[in-house]
Amino acid sequence: MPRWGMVIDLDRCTACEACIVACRVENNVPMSDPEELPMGRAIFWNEFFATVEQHDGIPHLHAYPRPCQQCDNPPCVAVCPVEATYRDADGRVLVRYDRCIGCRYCMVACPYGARYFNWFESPFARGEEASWNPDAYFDEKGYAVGPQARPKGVVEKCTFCVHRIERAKAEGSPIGSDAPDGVVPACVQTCPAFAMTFGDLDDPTTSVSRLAASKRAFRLLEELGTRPKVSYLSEG
Amino acid sequence: MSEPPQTRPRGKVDVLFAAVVVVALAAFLVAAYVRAVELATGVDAGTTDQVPWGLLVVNYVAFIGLSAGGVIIASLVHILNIERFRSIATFAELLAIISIVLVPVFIAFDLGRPERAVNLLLFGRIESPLVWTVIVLTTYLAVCLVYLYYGVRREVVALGSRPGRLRWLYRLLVLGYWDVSPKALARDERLVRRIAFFVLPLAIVLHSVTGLIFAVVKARPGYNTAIMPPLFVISAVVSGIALVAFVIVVAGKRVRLPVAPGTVEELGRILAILLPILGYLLLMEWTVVFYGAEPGPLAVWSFITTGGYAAFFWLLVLVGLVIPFVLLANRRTRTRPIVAAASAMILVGILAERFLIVVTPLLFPSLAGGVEVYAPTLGEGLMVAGVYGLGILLLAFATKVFPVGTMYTELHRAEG
Repeated sequence: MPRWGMVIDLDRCTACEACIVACRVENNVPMSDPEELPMGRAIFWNEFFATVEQHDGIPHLHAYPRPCQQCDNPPCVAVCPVEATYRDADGRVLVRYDRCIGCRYCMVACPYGARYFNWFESPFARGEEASWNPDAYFDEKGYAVGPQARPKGVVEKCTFCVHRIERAKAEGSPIGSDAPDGVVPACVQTCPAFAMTFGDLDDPTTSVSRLAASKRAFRLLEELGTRPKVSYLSEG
Repeated sequence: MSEPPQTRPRGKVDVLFAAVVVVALAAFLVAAYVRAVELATGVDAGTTDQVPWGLLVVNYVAFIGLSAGGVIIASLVHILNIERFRSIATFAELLAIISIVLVPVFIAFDLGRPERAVNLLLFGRIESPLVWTVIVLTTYLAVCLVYLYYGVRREVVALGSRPGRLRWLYRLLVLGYWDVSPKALARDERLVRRIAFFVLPLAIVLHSVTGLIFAVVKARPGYNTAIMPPLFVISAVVSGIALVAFVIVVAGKRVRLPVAPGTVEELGRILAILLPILGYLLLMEWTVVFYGAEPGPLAVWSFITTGGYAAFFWLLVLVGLVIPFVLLANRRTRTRPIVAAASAMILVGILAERFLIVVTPLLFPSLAGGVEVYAPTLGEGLMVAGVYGLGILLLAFATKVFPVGTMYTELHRAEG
């Protein structure tokens, strides 16, 4: 079984946020209106964090995108009372939208803030958006866990574009950043600076496993023992 | 005083009782309406993706805690053989049961998909502290109902044996066990005693599990501390006893509860013994947090003590702990009205404690800097008020339908 992982090179990242937009379009992440954003109810499967630090009077921008870290030891899965969120055979953490009861315990437990609640009905669920991505993915139990429209009152988050990877597996297409036409998540595919790498962490020949083991690699809040499968390469 | 409610002349309305019932019912209907609108159009609460839990979860935790009173009184009677509390044990158990019944209502008002709550039974994962709560709370409710049944069986048998409009209900509730011979009652007493030994550890498990919901969350400094379960147990016991003392003084006469003289004062004395334990647990947590200066917990507790939530902190310390302790520890000030006032203060203080413990750690995201804001909305407040109203309604009807206080006095007077 592959163990999908991602490496984000912060030296290459230009903070253009194309990954955020690509994710939004690919996964039918609803746009939030000007009222919902200040209410703290805007959904980002991949969110961009930026801080400006002063070094000797010179401002330095530290910025990084934060997809779901796809932890190997996910705290969200541990606390879910109904197994709506779970770690699948490929190590991805997914949400069964039609089982979630909306208790939001997983959002409390996730240290990365990677999980979002559908406080309102998404325009996709009402079928109002012209830019609808019709892709779908159902897990082996028949639950929708992909980019399908999410109902109101449930939690959703990044899936590492499970629908793309699973379709590539079914079709026998190459997967990962190493093959010329390898299938990768939307954020990785769209990155104009080639800052993101995707592939199988358990395969020592892939660049993702090589980069994740590099001296520059670190993982967010590693000290919590969540064992994220997203690594960052430090700047400088 | 001993006039049974059945013989009250028709047409004579108890104005205060009616007013309380009407207000409580109105509050609950408003809450139900707010919730219905919410389910149709989207969540109307101050909760956000960064602060996913708010006032409803605070109250959910608080009401699990309030249920502790009944168990503690029962334990005093049946384990420590303090006969003084026997007269209020059943009433305390009733308060405990009403507190527990309100807990799922708070959850139903908070869940994104309340209609899927059945998934907790269908797909419950034993690894989740929420499932522990479901299991323990259900067991606890069942045991408390059994306990209440044996506590009022003799009175209900008496009510079912004489004419009255609700006779069918009493006959039903006797569950076919009509034997009230001294032998049968002695057998009941032995059984209740055994239940008391079982229900006390069960209550400790329940409140520990409630604390563990937060303590196991490693991602949230402020939650992730082993003081949580014992703190929840003591907070529950203190608030539970305060609830019993407060309700007995405020409503005891009205429901003709036969309170033995000195009972309320004794409850006040028990509270005076327990309050320092609660203060001690908090003090130990604060010492470690401020001495260790670990950035996460330090940020949370600094925000509580000197930051945005300082008002709630002093509410907890002064109104919840210090003032009631001073009032209750002194024998001269430990009178019925002052015990009631001190109990009300404790209830407010513990609610502030629950709010600080549940909400503050959520204001500090682990990744991005900055403090989040949690601003409860009117709708959220109305929903909480509505569930309080439901509790008052349940208490009003339970004491109206089951005039156990009167019956208790009558039966015991008949005995001699």
